[in-house]
Amino acid sequence: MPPSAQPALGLRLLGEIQSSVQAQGDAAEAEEPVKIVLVRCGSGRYAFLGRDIREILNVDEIFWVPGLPDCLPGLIQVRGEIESVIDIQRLLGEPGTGTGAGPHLVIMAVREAFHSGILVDEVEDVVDVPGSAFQPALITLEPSIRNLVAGEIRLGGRLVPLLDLQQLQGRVTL
Amino acid sequence: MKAPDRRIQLLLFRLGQVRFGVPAEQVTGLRGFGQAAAAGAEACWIHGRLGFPQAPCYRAPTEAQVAHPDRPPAWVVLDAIEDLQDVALDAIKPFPALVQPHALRRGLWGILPGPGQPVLLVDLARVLETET
Repeated sequence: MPPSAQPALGLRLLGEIQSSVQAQGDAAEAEEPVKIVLVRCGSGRYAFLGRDIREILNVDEIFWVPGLPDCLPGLIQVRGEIESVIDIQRLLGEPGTGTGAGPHLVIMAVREAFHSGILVDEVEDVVDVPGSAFQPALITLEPSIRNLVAGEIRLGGRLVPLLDLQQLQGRVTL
Repeated sequence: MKAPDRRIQLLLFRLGQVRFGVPAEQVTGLRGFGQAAAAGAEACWIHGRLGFPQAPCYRAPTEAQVAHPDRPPAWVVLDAIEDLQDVALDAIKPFPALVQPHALRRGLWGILPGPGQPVLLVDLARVLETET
């Protein structure tokens, strides 16, 4: 995907968030909070939209499957159902968390056709942020991250990348 | 009246730490390791075709003859053959959407969930068509 296409893609989800807030009416309503799940993966801190995260799981084991890319460390069993797991550290070019015996912390993410667990090191917080805290990803954001984000969120004076599940899906199924 | 379950017999085996199952109808013969070579044939090691990054440790290898709809049967090396298991088709799950394209390329078509480690269902005829 050419880098020049990224701003439009990155703005898509951001626009959706802001329009859903702005549709409410005036500027005061634009401050309506959006729930965000903050996670830590390796050296990075990332955010997901709260509406996309169904549950947080402590997983005993990730079952390796031959032939999968590094960013898919394997499968987990959740109440008799089989779910995939994405290691976003691998997508971001960092060493992976690893598979096999756990415990592993996995957040289950669901959005349209996307349905998968995501391996994280820690769920730091679930917070409400105003719509105005969302902004497009900075051009200076590292390319490996920039290709996976919908934008950034200003939290406590720092910018946290908001990961886009559809971008993740595109990268994993390449 | 409830329709009877459609069932399938699976031959279970292991490669390394991974459990596999192959429909028993696809395996037309089993014999001890090394007998294919003794008969002038060659048994195929399938771990590379399945996507193992390196050869797993084979503890109890057995040669299995695999039927193919369009080709003569071929011999493959399986390890640690466990059992024949009769399962309902309803118990078999497809791979999750993100995994399925990668799995199908390797001849893996379904999963039998645990308890414990799930069994990956493999089409050995398809595996024999894949490149290492």
